[in-house]
Amino acid sequence: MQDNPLMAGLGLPREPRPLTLVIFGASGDLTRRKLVPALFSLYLKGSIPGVRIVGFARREWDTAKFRALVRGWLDSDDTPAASEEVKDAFASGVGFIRSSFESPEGYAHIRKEYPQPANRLFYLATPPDSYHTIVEQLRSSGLSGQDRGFSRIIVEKPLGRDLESARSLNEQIARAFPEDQIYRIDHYLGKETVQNIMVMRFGNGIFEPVWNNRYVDHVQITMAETIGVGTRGRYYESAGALRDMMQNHMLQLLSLVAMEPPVDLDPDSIHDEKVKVLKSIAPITEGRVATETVRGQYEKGIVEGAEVPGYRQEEGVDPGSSTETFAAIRVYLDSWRWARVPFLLRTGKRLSRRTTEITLHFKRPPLLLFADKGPAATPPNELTFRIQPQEGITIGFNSKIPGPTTEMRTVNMDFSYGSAFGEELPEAYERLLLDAMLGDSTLYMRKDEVDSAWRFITEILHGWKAGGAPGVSPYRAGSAGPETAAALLGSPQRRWRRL
Amino acid sequence: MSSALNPRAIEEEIVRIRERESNPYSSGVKTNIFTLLIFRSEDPEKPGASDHVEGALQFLLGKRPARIITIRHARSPKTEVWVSGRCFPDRRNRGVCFEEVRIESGDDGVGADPGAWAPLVIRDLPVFAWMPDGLVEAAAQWAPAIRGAAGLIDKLLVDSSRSEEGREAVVRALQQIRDATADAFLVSDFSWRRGKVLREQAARAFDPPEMRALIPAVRSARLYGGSRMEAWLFFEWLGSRLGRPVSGDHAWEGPLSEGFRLTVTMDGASDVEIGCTRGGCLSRGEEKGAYRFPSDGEILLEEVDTLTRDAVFGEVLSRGRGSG
Repeated sequence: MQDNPLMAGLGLPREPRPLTLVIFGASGDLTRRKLVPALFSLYLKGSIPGVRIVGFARREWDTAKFRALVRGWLDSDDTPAASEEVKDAFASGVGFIRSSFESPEGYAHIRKEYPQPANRLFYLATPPDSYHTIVEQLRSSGLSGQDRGFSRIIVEKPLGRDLESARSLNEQIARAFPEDQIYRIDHYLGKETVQNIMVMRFGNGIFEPVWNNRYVDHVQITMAETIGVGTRGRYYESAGALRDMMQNHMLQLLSLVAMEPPVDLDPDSIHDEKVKVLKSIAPITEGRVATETVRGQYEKGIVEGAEVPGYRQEEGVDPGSSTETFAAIRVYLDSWRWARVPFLLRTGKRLSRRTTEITLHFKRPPLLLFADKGPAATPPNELTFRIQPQEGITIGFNSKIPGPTTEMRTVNMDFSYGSAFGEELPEAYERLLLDAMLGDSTLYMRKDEVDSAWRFITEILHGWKAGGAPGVSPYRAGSAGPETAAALLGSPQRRWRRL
Repeated sequence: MSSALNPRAIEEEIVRIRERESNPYSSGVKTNIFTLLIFRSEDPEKPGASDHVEGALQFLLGKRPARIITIRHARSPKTEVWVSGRCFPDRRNRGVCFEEVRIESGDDGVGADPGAWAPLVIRDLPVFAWMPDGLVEAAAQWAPAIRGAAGLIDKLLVDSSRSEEGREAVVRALQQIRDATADAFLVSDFSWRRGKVLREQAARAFDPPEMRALIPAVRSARLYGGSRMEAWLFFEWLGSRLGRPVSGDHAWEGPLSEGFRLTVTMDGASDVEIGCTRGGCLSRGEEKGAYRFPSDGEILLEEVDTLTRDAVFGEVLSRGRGSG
């Protein structure tokens, strides 16, 4: 095709081709709290002029009712501010199809009532037990075909509950959609601070030279929540912290911190490097789960100033449950860069503070010149990525305390997103939805990433099931998790970062 | 409060003001990410003289923390300095602040000299210089000072539409500024940035495969809307992209924020009509969505976030040397 010389140097914002976005599970919480605000924000920015939004759910609603609901959702605090007219215009553009996920008529309605735009993006904002049905119906109705434009699918976690079920789901989706049209979402990858990990590492010259086992003593990745399981007790009983957080978010963060520089920013180049990390994780086999993993379960306690029940007292939870609400693991990567460097991962509910962060703990200097009071007088340097809250980066280093002696103490050099860039960070779903519309899968998970992550996690699950590991350790809600997690540190000179 | 032009005293005053203005409960680090030098040339007594500058700064406030140094000539015997600050708490109650220094250079000429304000620039952070008023007069007043501080400045921002002189004089001033400074720092023009809406709509109209084939047949363009400079920059851009002169007719002058109409005349094919109003854009009879026109504040924000050379703007100015 002939070039368009007028386009050169314009740097136009990315804009998706016209498409119909069908949200399965449009009556659910995810649609109300995340998807509609994200779509409205994109609409306000003029990023999705040719996108038609259609809700699909069992609920006895019609288009008028759905429009009224969407209009109401736009008044919530989580939604960007806009005039009444603009909100009305957005809401009046959405459509709705009332149908069960099993009914072929519902899928026929999509084609009949919304023939244009012919490009389609299907978002599965439904419980995972509906995935098989919806994907099969999309396939048998021909809606997943690529003949009249592209047809894409976005799938939310959990993508299976072990390696076998994840493979089965992947195979079924692959029968309907080609791999490059499948978008497996992990909303953590849409967060600005997560994206900044790559920019920080590969956009600066000062970090990579020390980003290896020669200088790094160990790495800690923490994802702590103050909330309990809430209304998700029934689901959580069959999941647990390892499946719910570790398999996806935490291993994704691990792969971003540990990956080699990609050859370019092509999605596949980045996925290739992440997969290499996941494949290099030394398996935690049945014989090692006792020393490399810790699991815990919260008991009643005080969180954020209020008394909260223990996990076993939560709605939908078995009173004798042994499901873990806290998991910590020690991971080694069999790679030249990271050999012998432990990666300590922990996640839990009802902990004392909500925080997600990654910290590289550096080795002490080879000669402790100022350590006449012992090594503790020279604390190791730390580099912390704060993913949430207070997004930013902190480097901890030692400085002389003024006075006639050479006493030192740790001080922080702090970069805070909020101080340097005052505007609100865009919601993760906003970026992820736009990327899927544009066909950019960089911030999504490729099949082999999911596969590799499940292979590693499934082995731990088998080890726990086999009974060779200590059971679930109780911890008080509002604490930092079970004390047994300290055993993973492997050295008295290391300690978990304070929550 | 008026202070002496003593850098150390000014820095101390800034620290005092920062402590007073910023949110005591915020744990955010007090930071700056650039210095903005504003060289004013408009008479401050003129009605509305400061509105466009203040409007753009208001847009920036709360989004980017910065030191803002405003310098202007004043009708007083001695140079005077005022130091102030303002912070804007965001939704999380973090303060994002401006440190502001206003220098009114008196008959002594002290305040206009780079030696007076150069020590106030934050070292190791980008420095932007902005001449927001009439370009011809601003260039006459400030070009020597800016040239004298070339090593200090990373980018100069001007607005070629804000001049009452004829187009030739403005183009000449723009080219002179660029010639004198291009190697030392970047030059960017708000009028060029505003004109992006024209270039974008034209480029999109000719982007479908069947339209690309017609690009060689473009003969002339008629524009309704935009300033003289915005129109001139557009016609020069069109010519530079096509690699040949394109006759341009600026049929009507008006603010681009209200919209525009563009007719591209073709050899052997129908005219291509593109138009935007506040209600939206229409191109070749098809609706093209909302008309997003950037405010001066949005342009300023984009300018202070980027330090890259716009090669196309450079080409257009070089090309316009003959036709200006």
